[in-house]
Amino acid sequence: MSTFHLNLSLMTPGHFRGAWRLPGRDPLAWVDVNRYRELARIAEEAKIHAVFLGDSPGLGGSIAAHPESGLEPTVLFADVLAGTKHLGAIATSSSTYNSPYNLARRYLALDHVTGGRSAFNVVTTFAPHSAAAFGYPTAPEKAQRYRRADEFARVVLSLWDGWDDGAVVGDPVSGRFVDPSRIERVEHEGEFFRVSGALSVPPSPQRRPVLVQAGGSPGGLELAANWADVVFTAGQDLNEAVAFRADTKRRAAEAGRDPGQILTSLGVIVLVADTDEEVRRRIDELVNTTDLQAAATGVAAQLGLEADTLDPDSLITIEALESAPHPPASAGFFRSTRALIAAGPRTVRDLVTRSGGGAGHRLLAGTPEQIADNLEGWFRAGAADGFTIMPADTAVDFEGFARQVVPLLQSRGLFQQDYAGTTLRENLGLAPLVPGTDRQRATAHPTTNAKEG
Amino acid sequence: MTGTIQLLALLGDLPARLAAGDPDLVRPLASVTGTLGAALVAGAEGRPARHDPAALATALSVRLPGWPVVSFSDGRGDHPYNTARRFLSVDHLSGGRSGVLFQTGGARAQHTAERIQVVRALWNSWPLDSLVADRDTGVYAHTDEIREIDHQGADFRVHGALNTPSSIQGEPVSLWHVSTAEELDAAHGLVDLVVLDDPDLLHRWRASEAEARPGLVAAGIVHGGEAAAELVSVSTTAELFEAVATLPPAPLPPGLPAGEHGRAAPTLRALFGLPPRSFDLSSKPLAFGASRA
Repeated sequence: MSTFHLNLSLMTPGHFRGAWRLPGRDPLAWVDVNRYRELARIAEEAKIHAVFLGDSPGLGGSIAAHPESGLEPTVLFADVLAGTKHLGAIATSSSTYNSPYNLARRYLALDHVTGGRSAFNVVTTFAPHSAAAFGYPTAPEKAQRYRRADEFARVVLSLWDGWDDGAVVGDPVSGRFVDPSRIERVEHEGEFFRVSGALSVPPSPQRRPVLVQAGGSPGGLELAANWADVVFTAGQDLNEAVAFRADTKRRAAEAGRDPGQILTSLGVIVLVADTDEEVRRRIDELVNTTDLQAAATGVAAQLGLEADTLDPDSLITIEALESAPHPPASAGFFRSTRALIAAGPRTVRDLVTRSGGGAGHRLLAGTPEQIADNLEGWFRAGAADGFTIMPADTAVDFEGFARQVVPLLQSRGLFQQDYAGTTLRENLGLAPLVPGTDRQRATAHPTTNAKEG
Repeated sequence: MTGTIQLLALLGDLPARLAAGDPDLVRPLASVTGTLGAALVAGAEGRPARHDPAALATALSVRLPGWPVVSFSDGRGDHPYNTARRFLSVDHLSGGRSGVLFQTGGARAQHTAERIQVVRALWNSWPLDSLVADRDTGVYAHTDEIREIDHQGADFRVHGALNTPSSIQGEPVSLWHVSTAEELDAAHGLVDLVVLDDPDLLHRWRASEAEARPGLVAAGIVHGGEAAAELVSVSTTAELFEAVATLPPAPLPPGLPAGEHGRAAPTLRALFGLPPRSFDLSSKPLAFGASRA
């Protein structure tokens, strides 16, 4: 494929969570639906494939310093997509804290009200405050969360694929509304769920929401290989991202799928400015809004290091990383950060800068030309099928990317001048779904064995 | 015209047509936005196939900005944390013009009561005005205003504060369609309004002198003008417009130019004269301790 997809994150105030502190920013933009509607229109003008929102239930103590997840994404996207015609939306929900029937029904409703432009990004959610919100003393261990996610995906895909083409008869003369023989019930009994029945809604214009997966642990990679249309991933190092993409496609092929039907979308935090000097000034400004001691604690947890051993200027070596006392909170971010540290020790301050606030994704800061060059280079090297662009400061960089970088990518023939179709699936270049295929795979595929998360 | 607020439960193909933006429905309803003492009720049982009520309520509030929307919630298989978050999000999108009509859905009265208790406690756990966003100190929220709901009941254990802050009307209007005396008793102090369709329960409601007695929504029963609202089902365009033609006016916000009425439509709590955030959590622990410097 000669062009790549672009998704654009709506995370507000930005990937640097402290960006609300800068002058002129609306600190409540994060719960202002009018602002999200405006961002969606900007994204659609730029022919962006989809807007994206991560999500995690439960309120954490970091709210004292900055917003995290706020409005529930399926509700928010049902609203913001009503003001657009082609733009897709990737909402995130937890397989650990939802039941599959309700979630399948809710996302299929979202897919109907958006005319087939939605995607479900399945995450397993490790935050302790999420577990507490749902009555658990701690989050279930990772291997268990991924066994549940696998079973969750099977049930959801089977439910979405329950109605064959032609199940809706709608014959006013005979009064026959639906042909029940063309609706396949799900009869599922597994480790986590017992589901018997079918959804009350027929397939959507793209049959079902696109399935996105975003975890880099062994369980996450297997989940992606089996079920994901799009894999959202972090990559700090070009070679490592190339290897990840090749490995993802190889795993999908081993699971009996066409490797062309699984796309990787590389997360990149973008900061756009007109001159090198302005780029440096804005990086400094955003790093200064960050509580570096809190970031050090976060980085320690991400990497499995003792929280109280790090301060902003501690050097983290590859040796320290490899003898970390705890398992990393996020395997994907560990992998991408490890690749960075392998090239030489880094301070927390440096990691926070390079990962746009410390969450692990790569910061790409530059002029529009520099950003376009960099994305072109990574794409041509085979690092990704597309990018999920995460604005460093959403108030500035969302529009900056859409209006200044996208036209350069279009003029280079790397990005679409217009939408290819009407559904997200078509626009991503994914093949149409054949009725019955998901159901067959979801019920026939051998059950995943418990693996070390 | 009764003067009583009307809740119009949309049946048949009306919800799907409104959600899809059918101009024959949207235009006449949009032209009276904010001027009437009425709300649309989404997600009632009906044919054809039912969509998820929160998705439907969202679509309705997008198509008809300013119109209050009440969502059915039967809670089957849905954890109250997720329920609370989704419907409070709808409340944000609708500009504080939403409500939730809880259904028992075959569950025990106490189970439903506990579910409502958890949802309302969560709605009240994180007040919007705790968001102070002080640029100089870097304090985004005063966490000493955020409460742990600390719920440990027969069916649910929920510790968190909600991660959606309260809305401009505080929280959605809460309604419970009660069908038994046990449910009616459990509704006291728990919801803003009860929906009654049984004259015997109406007697029981009248006899209750408790201060915590919820307001009354009459569904197809004769009441002596003491109902705050009436719930009526409409299945066709003709029924909908007939109902709309007889709706009472909304209270006019003071000092507003006539043409601006729709833009400044009252919140649903204001329409009912309900206080914002009436659920008391002051006995609950702080979610993150006292953090204010």
